[in-house]
Amino acid sequence: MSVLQASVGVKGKNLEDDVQTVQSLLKSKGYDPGPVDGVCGPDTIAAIRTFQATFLARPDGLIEPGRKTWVRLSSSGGASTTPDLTQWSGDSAKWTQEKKLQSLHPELRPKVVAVLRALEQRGFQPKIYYGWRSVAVQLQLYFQGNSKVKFSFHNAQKPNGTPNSYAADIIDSRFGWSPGAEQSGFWKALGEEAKARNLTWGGDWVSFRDWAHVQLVPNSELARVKQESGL
Amino acid sequence: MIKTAVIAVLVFSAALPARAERLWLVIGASDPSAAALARKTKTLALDTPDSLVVQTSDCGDKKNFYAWVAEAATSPEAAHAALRRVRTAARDAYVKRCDTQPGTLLALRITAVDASIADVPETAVNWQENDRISTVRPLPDGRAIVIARYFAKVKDDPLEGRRERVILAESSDKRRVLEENCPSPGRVAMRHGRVAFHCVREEAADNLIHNVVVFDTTGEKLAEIKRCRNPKWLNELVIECEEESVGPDGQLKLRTIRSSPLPPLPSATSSHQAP
Repeated sequence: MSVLQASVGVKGKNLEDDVQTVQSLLKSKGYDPGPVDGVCGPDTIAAIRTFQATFLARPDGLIEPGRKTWVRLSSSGGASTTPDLTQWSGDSAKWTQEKKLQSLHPELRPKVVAVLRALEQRGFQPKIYYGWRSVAVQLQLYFQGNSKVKFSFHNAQKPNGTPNSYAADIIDSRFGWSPGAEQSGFWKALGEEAKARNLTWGGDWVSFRDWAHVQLVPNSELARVKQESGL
Repeated sequence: MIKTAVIAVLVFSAALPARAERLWLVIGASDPSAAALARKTKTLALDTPDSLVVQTSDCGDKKNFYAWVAEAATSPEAAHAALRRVRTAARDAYVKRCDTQPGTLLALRITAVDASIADVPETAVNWQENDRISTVRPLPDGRAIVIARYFAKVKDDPLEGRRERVILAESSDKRRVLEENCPSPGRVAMRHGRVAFHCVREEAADNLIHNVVVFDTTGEKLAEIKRCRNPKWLNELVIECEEESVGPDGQLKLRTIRSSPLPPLPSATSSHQAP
């Protein structure tokens, strides 16, 4: 369990050790606070705000010992040798934004965070609808006729069964998949921001569009990802 | 009386001659699995462009298997002549008598397993046996809709090259491709020879999103209605379907809408009765 001696962030005390702790934890959760150097600069504050946006209506960029942001940041940041699979149960579309981010592959996570941040800066209200989705749910969708695939990049997991999704579905929380998403330019912006970070975007798939979908690797790697997942 | 006769002629002329027919199939290879047969016959098919894969249930067999047929002969003599040629490439080739079942792929001389299926990579993750087998749906007016499943070698395809071509077949030599790729084509709604069905086009949360495609009696495309499913004809000019919308909660909402009026039917067929 990490320890915070004083506040970090906007108008915080920003002790070097505390800032380093916060920067490390933010990185472990897929955010990009810049280098872990103990200096609370604009990147660190932006990362704190982005993290807070996943559970606070009004992010203030400040972390204080014992308060909500610190509790969230320090709760599951450390490495665990025995995975607690029960925490990954339930409808993953209803998980918190933070948990959805945590369910992503470590290389995808910072890219998705950057895409979310860039879309916010463009005036959108992005959120992750799906990060990881279990194989059991995927099969259910397939057999109900609600999906064309039995295994997707959303289903990728570590061999120990914990989520390691290679894909995320990102929507604007005002529109979802309704026509407003296209009319407002959200899909186009999502595609631009995703591709700027070398992500594959499902809106480019002429044979079968998946507008909200961004993916870490090309479709040709599906077999490798399935094998890597131990499935 | 005259009107009845006109209708009878029109219906008869449109009817698919997919009647029971005795054939002698020159079979070069067979397998219970479509995937295995496609691989087995990949090289054979190259030398015999008119060959087709037949599912023996099309001959009325209770136990189905897939047979690579080099020639479907209409007499035993023709079959045995062909057999000698085929045995140069396939030593175990043989002749099977087949009473073709009406309304089947064999009656239409359409292969049950497209040659491209042989190229599906063995590492493909989401290909199932059913994705390799074409199917036929007879229409009430005697024609048929064929779903020809095939593999398209497209780099980084989200469906790993799985494709479904929709063909309107009037006879073994009169066919028209309606849709080159229509994933999971829905039930066909028909009125005065016009047909409408939906194809999967998009994914949204836990839902598949469809377009409705509408075709004239000749197979000419009349309309494509975006994000709609389950078309029904209100009359020969207007279609009703369920418009699909998925909000931020991921829930699918359906709303019945009506299409804009379609072009009127050609006068020659305006007396054609609805099936």
